[in-house]
Amino acid sequence: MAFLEVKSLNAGYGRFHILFDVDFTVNMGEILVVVGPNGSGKSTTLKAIFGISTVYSGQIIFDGEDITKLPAHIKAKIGLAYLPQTSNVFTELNVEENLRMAGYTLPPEDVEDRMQEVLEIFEFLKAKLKDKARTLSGGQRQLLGMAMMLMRKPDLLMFDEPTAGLSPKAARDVIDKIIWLRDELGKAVILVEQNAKLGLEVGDNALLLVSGRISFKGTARELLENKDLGKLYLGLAK
Amino acid sequence: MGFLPNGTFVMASIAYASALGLLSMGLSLTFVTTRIANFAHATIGMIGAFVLTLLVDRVYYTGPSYQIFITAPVLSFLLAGAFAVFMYIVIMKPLADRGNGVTELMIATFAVDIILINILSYLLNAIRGVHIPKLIGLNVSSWDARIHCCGVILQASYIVLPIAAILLTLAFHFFLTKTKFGVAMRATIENPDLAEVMGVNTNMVYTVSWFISGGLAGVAGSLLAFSLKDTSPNDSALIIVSVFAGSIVGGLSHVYWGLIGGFIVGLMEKLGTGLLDNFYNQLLAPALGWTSFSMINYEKLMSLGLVVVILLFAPEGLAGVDWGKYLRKIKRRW
Ligand SMILES: Nc1ncnc2c1ncn2[C@@H]1O[C@H](COP(=O)(O)OP(=O)(O)OP(=O)(O)O)[C@@H](O)[C@H]1O
Ligand SMILES: [Mg+2]
Repeated sequence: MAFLEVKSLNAGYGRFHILFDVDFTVNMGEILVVVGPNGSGKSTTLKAIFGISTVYSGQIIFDGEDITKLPAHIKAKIGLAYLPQTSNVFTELNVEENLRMAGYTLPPEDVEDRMQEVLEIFEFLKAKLKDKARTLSGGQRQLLGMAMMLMRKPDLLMFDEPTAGLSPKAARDVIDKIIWLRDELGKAVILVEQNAKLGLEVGDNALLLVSGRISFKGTARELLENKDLGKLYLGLAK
Repeated sequence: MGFLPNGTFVMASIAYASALGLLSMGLSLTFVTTRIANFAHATIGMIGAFVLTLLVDRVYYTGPSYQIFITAPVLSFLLAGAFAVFMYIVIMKPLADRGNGVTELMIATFAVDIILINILSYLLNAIRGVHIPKLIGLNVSSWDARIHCCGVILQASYIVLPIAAILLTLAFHFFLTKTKFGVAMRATIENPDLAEVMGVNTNMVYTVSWFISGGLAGVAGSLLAFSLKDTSPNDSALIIVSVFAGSIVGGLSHVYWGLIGGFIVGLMEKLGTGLLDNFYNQLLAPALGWTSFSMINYEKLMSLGLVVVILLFAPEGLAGVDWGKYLRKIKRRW
């Protein structure tokens, strides 16, 4: 049984039905890359898994447990993490408060240790602990969001375009970090990536969403080498 | 300068303004957390006046006591807070979950307001006083200790109210900045979805915000009752106008600015009206031979006039004003 199983998921926002019968699985130590045109439902898929958009039908099985109906804050507690595409840090809180919030479900005695560990990875944050997050640059915010994800040591990490707005170097660092999460820590990762080439090169499996439906499911390599789909949807002309 | 008001009047105005500040702060709090404009807020405060009346009858019937300034606010905080939580969980949240919008929810708070006014009036009529025969309309000001200070006699509540407002605001600020749950409340106010994703039970945050909001109202109501001449739950219908005025002047979406807005509105209503009245009737009218008339009954004109001015010139309230810009301008001038 896969670590995360999404079964015939139908989801959206209130009356707006966006996702239709989406099915996929993710295993530990595996990166699933989700690609697709703007508005195809990539972000909605992640939100539906976390329970902050409306799920009409279908099932989400996490580590053998049906979590479809659990409130989002419980999902955070049992090991899911999600980096939203936008508004992914609390701009009115300072950096330290942001990290503390990210460790909200941890026992108080663990928070300090986790924070030190995370600050070792994102060193530039050390000098900015007392700064409001709104004073950070777009890219720095993105990295703070990433740091916040790691606070809780989650088992399933869902990234929604984590490299958007980052310099090529910073984007590469983020992708390397995601690879490290998979290879060294054996985490399950869902990566929504606008830069299809970058994403598909590091992904194990891939999902192509078009208009809320899956139009390709297979290995990342297959999708990367599929000329028709690549040209049509991903701008992988060649 | 014969038209300047005397010390007692100034202190009474500050006390009233402090109570309004607390009420407006609570009103803004539940607005920023749950987007509900609560018209029952002042009546929830009246629960404090109700508690005070009962305490006077059961415990302090012999006369003024300083102890009542502890027991009445504490009990009022708990009881009014509990009612606010009840209102949120049993009425407002189910309505919101069914997809009702801001307007529907606001109208529902009107309904709660009317029901609560009637419940309180009924109770004050129905409960048999132990030492005082008739509880409704009781003038509790005779149970307020008197303080001789600086050549005037003050009701003690005039001093207790501003102190209570300062202490409660400091405590609330400590809660918001130094406690884990308080930081979670600020996080939830900014971005509820992200707070949930971090593991914050936002519904618990909302419930606690209603408890604090109701509690602050209860404290304000219990202490303000000392200066409302014949306390009755209906009084809230007039007070709620000023409470909303305060929150709107502050900007509705900022808790501390709600406090400041309420305080300014309170001062305008009492001190502002008083000054204008004295100025006109004692200086202007006699000098020009105009007929004198009392402005004291028009105090709401002051607060609502201020709301109009604010909405015209600073639509986001005082919170939306770029104070830094003005400070820099002033600095440059000098
Ligand atoms: N809060 C919302 N309420 C209603 N509809 C929404 C909401 N958010 C997104 N949508 C709609 O859902 C559809 C899918 O949006 P989604 O954000 O999942 O796309 P996406 O694949 O992530 O796009 P992008 O690449 O631009 O991030 C779009 O048509 C969008 O208009
Ligand atoms: Mg998206």
